[in-house]
Amino acid sequence: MIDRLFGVFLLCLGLYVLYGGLSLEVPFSYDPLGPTAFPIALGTVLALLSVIVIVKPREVHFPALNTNLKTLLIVLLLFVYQLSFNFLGFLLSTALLVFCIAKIFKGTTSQALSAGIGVSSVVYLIFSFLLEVPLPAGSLFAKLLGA
Amino acid sequence: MEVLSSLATGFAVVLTPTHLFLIFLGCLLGTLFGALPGLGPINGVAILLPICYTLGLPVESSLIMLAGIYYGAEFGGRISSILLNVPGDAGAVFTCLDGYPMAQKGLAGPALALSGVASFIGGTIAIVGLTFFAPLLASVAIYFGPAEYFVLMVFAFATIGALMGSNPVKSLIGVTIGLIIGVVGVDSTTGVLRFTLGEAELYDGFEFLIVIVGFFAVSEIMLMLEHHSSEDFEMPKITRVYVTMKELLYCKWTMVRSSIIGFIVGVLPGTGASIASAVSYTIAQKISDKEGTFGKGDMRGLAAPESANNACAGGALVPMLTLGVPGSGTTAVLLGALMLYNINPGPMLFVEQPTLVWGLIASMYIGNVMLLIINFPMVRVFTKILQVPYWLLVPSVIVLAFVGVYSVNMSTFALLLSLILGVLGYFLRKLHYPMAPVILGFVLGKIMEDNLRRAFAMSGGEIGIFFQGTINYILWGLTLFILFVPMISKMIAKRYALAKK
Repeated sequence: MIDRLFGVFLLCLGLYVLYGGLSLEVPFSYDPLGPTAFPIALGTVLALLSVIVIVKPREVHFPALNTNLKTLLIVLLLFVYQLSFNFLGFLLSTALLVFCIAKIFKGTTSQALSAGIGVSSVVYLIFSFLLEVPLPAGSLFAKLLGA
Repeated sequence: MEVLSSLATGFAVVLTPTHLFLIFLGCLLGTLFGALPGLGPINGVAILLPICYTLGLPVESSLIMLAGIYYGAEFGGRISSILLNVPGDAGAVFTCLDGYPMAQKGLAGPALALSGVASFIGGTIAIVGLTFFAPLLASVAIYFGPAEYFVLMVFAFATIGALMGSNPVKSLIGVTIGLIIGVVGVDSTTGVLRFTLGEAELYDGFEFLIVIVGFFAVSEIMLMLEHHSSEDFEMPKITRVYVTMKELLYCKWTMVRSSIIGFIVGVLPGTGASIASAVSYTIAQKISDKEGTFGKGDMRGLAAPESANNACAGGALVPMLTLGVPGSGTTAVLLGALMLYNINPGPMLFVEQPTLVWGLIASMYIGNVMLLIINFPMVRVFTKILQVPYWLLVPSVIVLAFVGVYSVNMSTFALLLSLILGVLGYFLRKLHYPMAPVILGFVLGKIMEDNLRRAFAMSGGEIGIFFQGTINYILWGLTLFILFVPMISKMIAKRYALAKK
């Protein structure tokens, strides 16, 4: 069933690409094909292939609901992480993320805490000092400190 | 001998303290990534590539180290296969079949040692093959025009469809999805925006690291929830970590044969270590398994897939370096790494970047010897690392991967894109869509379209240009052949089964 649903998703994606390719406005082109031919061909191929999947889906085993919810939680955590990255700063947001994921993977609270602090500070040291990549310090703290 | 003098220049590049250290580091980290269940060479490259890039390492140094991670991972994948019956990466699935029974018999140490030697032999035979075969192919490759190049990619994708995975339709869908992701961005000749959804950060298309971190790191972490962590397993005792000469000689033909098979499978575009080890194991079983000992801890059954998957890593570099068409998923990632450095892979790579190519080849000779040496004394260390608990491993991997993406793009939007692709990748992998075709399609998409359009521009819109010249004839012939191989082999198998009845 999920295989079939995903096939429908792929069909929509293929049709969208086909439509997008057809509706591109090309003012001029130096080559006979232009920028539309490739997407049109790809969209068509994807749509046709996905029909085969929809017609003949296979049985797929997904894990128990409990695990699926945890998977969803991880996606949610990563989503919140990228949202809070600039606001909370690298250190705090990463420590929180690592703590939560460690808890999901059955670490005890003290293990998760030490992982959170350890991983975020080690990665921060590597990237800020060794590689000289500026990681965000957090606009929240900038505001708190009145900067 | 021109080859030998080129190789000498390669060694001249590599034999510096920095490069020797980078090879060592690459091999060590590669073994680590290979050994940890769930993390393969692609994740290793994805995590290390941004670090190399931001460190400002020159391209040959980066490539030498990243390649070390690649073949090092094929070396390391065997450890958890043998000890825990959990393949460390896709190429090590067949190593479990005889490796784990050996460990259960109390032969874990010899199994590790034998597979180490088998890996070394496979790797070395493949590099010798690469050294002599690649320049030959490169000398043909310079006659490739846009039309030939396009047909070559059609051949590559036909190979993927015919040989990858159990379901050719899903492999081809994977390729198409990869190609579609590659289309996003500004069209290079007309400046038309394609599928950018109004996001300025998509004008340059999906940045390479975003895609591999999404498809491999993020989706892997979602899948890891279903794995059992190694804490749940009992680690067998490791006794003597060496093999006797008698044991080695017992397996010698199996190793040589499997190495050659692995190399050839590696050269075919798009077919990676998992196919190489499957084919070589099956053939070894057909030839040698007279007493039915395969699958119960036969040493030859362990040597075959291990020589093959290491040989495959060397073979996969042949089409990547000479034609710009990667031979496996990981070489596709290495190719993407080259593109990040603004090096155009393709037929001219051998001519334009001799130090890069020959430096890489020379580094692999050294790397293989290093792997053999570090693997014996350090086997116990690696088995300890296998026991790293998931609560520490998983968050570390995702943080390193995300910071890598951030450091190359300097935006959190890149992280969001990675996450979206990760969710897509999770479903693709759960529904048995093989991932190597996706990444190949993504890496090759732009080159394929450019060559298609250039060919049409040259011919003035005539399709005949794709059917002219010896190279095109050969490529179309190979394409037809590869498409019909599975059908023919099925027919023969049926006849055979009927005759047996």
